[in-house]
Amino acid sequence: MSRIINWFTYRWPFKPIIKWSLEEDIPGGDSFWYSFGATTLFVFVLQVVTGIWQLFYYVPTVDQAYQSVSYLRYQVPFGWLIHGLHYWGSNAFIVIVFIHLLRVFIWGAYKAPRQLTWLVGVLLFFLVLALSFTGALLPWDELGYWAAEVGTSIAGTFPVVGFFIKEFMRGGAAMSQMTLSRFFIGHVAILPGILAALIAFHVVAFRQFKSVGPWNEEKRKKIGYFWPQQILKDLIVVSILFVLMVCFSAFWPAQVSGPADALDNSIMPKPEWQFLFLYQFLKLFKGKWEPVGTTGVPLVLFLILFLLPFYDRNKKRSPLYRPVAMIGCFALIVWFLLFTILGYYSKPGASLTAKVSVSSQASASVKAGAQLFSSQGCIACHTVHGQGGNIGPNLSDIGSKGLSDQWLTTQLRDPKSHDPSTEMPAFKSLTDQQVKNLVDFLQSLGGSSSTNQSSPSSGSSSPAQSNMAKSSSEPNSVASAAGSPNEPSDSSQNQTTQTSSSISRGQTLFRSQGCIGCHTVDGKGGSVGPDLSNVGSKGLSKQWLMVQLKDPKKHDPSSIMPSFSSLSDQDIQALTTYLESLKGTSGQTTLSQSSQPSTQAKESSAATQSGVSPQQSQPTSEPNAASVESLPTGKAAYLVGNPPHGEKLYNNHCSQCHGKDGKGGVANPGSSAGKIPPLNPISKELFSKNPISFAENIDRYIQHGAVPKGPHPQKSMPAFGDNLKLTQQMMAEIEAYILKLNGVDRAAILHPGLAPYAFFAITVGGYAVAVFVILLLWSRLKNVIAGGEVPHKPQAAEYQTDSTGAESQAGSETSAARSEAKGQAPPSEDQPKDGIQRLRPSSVAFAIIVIIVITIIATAVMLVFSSFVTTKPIPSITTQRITSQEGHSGISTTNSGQSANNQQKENEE
Amino acid sequence: MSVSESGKSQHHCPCGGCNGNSPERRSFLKKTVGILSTPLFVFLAWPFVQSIVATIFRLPKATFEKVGSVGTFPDNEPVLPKYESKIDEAYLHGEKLRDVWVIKHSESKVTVFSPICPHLGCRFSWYPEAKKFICPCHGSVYSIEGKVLGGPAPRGLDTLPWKIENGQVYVKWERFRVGILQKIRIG
Repeated sequence: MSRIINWFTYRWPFKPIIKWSLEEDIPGGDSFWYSFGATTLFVFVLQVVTGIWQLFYYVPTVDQAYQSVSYLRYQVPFGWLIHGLHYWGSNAFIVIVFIHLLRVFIWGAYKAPRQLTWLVGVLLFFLVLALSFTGALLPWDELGYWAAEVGTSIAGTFPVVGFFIKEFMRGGAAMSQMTLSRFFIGHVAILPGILAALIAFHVVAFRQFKSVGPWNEEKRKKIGYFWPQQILKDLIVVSILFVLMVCFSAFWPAQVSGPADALDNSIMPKPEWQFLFLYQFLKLFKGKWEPVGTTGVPLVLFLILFLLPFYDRNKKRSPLYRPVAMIGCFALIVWFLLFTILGYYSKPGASLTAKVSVSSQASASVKAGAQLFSSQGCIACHTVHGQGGNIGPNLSDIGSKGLSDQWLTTQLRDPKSHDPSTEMPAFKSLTDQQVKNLVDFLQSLGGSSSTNQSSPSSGSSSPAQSNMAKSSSEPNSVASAAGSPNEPSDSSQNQTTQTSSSISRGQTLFRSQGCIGCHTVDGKGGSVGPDLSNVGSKGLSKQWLMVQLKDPKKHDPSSIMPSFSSLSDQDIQALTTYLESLKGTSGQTTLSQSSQPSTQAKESSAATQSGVSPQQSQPTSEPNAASVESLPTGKAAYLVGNPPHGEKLYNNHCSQCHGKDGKGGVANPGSSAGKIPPLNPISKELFSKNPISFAENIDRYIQHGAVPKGPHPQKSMPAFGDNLKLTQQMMAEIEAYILKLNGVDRAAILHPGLAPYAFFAITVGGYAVAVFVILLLWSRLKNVIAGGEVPHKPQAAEYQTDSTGAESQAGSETSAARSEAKGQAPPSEDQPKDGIQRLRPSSVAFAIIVIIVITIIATAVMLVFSSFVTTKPIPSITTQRITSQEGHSGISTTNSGQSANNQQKENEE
Repeated sequence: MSVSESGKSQHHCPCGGCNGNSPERRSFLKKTVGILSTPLFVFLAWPFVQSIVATIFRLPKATFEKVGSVGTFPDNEPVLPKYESKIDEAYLHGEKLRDVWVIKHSESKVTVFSPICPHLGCRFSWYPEAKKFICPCHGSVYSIEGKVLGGPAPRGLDTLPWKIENGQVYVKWERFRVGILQKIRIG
């Protein structure tokens, strides 16, 4: 062994480099505090290794990045571990580099002559952040996509060069394949390359002046050694971190945020935790100050850190003599934590579907105001009772601020007269009545007693106000006219105008409230509910229509029509008036004239509505339940969706027919089943324990639609894919949600290699055994060391750092015999024998070798065990496509050895 | 140079025999090589920089693409239909779903807005009752004509070129630079 090393050293400075990297004396001795630098190095190596491993599967294309990551995570044995370690490694990287930075700051280790070490260290910290930013985009999922979209936009706000930086990062105007390619090459080549080079620079700079040690001069007198004492402590920290990361990978895998979809408006992303504080802090900068928040704040933070050794020239290192620096540091950390927590609990952006709820006891005016607050979009910018946006001030307690009604009216009509720099739009198109309602609503917002305050405020308003309140409680067309945005709500208007304005208002509501999503009028609209083109000539009473709007279940308990009781009475009135006006006279098409629309008519109307000509839609409306299986699945079946997001989309697009939570129960007259099939539980023929087969089975229906069996089914499944109603990504989300309803996890790990929990148990077990063995050896070794014994390791002599070691090496033969015989400390060793300080390097080296050997054995055992688990031939459901011949059974066993997924999943549980 | 070469350098040079290898001469050569090679490196860097920068600013060819039948759009009410758009971006040629805001005025006249907010590129929504477009990101508010009513937006909504043929609405997909007053096409 030594001959080989010598051979190498003759030709390459092998020994000197090892000597240089290991031999260092630490003033004040070794400490766990000093372990974070080495731990950072370990995480870097781990990230490089797991990163390269992921590249065996990952492809950086927008079409396949998401699937390739999913494949790695769910179908590659131990893919979950590789991905999990990389994911948690990236988080650990930031945390540990930060702790390291903080430690260096507290110890004052950035002061002369170590300024350059600090500068490079700060650069490394920001490089790590850049790596986490670029890495997040690579799976091309919702989270990473929107983070990159916002991140590059923020870079774009940088003065002068911002636009260029943004375009350069994106590789063009929009987020595209070019962006992914650029982020990819940055993440896997450029940034890690710079990082590695700077780490080398950092370590060399560190070795130049050695450890800084404690600030206390007394403590500095004790000298410790880097090898082996500090290395041992480093290894302890590193191994604990590694076990923790395995634990996180096993129990808290990276979140599934669904495939990226540029057309999905329902996403309101929040950044990753490390950028949350910036995100939250940015909200304080409005209007023209925005670039200050987006680029100024991060730049200032960077400069504060980067230039620290130049503006802090205080020579003292003890924190006690650096009160300003310590307080500043503490303030920064508090600021960071505060805004991170605020950001964590803040609602992202503005909720466009948010509604303000008011107590049922509130006056009609306040209710109408609340309605307007949502419908006029105030809620997009202002928060009330935790709902709404954060662009404008929170108005939850505006009523208790003592603002006059007049002031609020002016603020609504002409906000610039109060504050010329305001960004609030002037709501000039509102009627006086509407402004009154809004003012009343705002005045009612005063913390807990909002409902009590509402009545006096409405009482104190103008007579028109109380008229309004009265009239809206007993519905008539005057009230409905008042709600119309474009007509002045003058009570002196004649009956005809009121009716016509009521109709136009009703028409608007019919669209804005989404009635048109389900009902067709004049050939436009959805086919879920009955065609209403002719509803006015059916002799239905006004009362009946109003009840139908407010509580449809009263007429038909199985009705799936949602209750519109949240609408104001005027609105209900307006809708009713509008519906009564639909007598099939104006521009009626032949299809909508039939009061019992046939399937054929509905198909055509659905086709027209989606912009697809009847010829094109023919294949989609033709298939019945039996032939859908022969149609191809779409891309959605192979995208792993995010169930919570899928639930949102499901409620928007599916729940009207399939019921909330997929419970079904919706009548479908004319079909042989008589009801729309529930999705929870789903038909046995479509169900599969294998998430991919399951997704494929339902995907065909979602893509191509289906017409239920039966003579004249009133409702049929629309072709969401073929008609471009939903994107493939949206369908994937919905499928994931439907799978979840049926107890199948779309993101289940199909080929774990070894189940994550079992793997974690083995890791912990292996670690415990290793620690036990080391402790055992420790007590044994102590005697050996005490006797001055050095195990037969020739190179040990090279690293002896204390003089007694060299001495004992010389006389090792004799002392070994002596200690063997006595088993006791020789008299020459008069100091106490415990404590690492007394340990010989060689013995610790031996312990470390034992750790490594045990780890290797444990890994080998684990691998053998796992290969045994995965290759065990369990008859299982494959991920193959179901061909039409196989029909619904869909279970082919041609690939039986491959997927032990379900069985394993069951075993886990 | 030649004077110092013959004069001082003799005892400085360790090898003794090497004529004309004085420290002065070496440092002169260092500087000369450095000065001469810098423009060379700059020149060589040019293709490397250009290759990763130039493609960014290439404008893809925009063609009219069918969005839907004009009869399916409601009168004077913005809708956001999805349609299949050809992508012709660098080496990628294929199809991609896009959407645009369409407001139908008559059977032969529509207004088409890009769905991208001119402020910072978010996607805005239509509030039917308020008759306003509102962007949830920073609260820019636009009228149905696309005019800025409030918020930080520097210009009104971006209109896209359209045509109607045989009752079908065709739109040219274009992107514009966000955050500035001028409407500059970038994609």
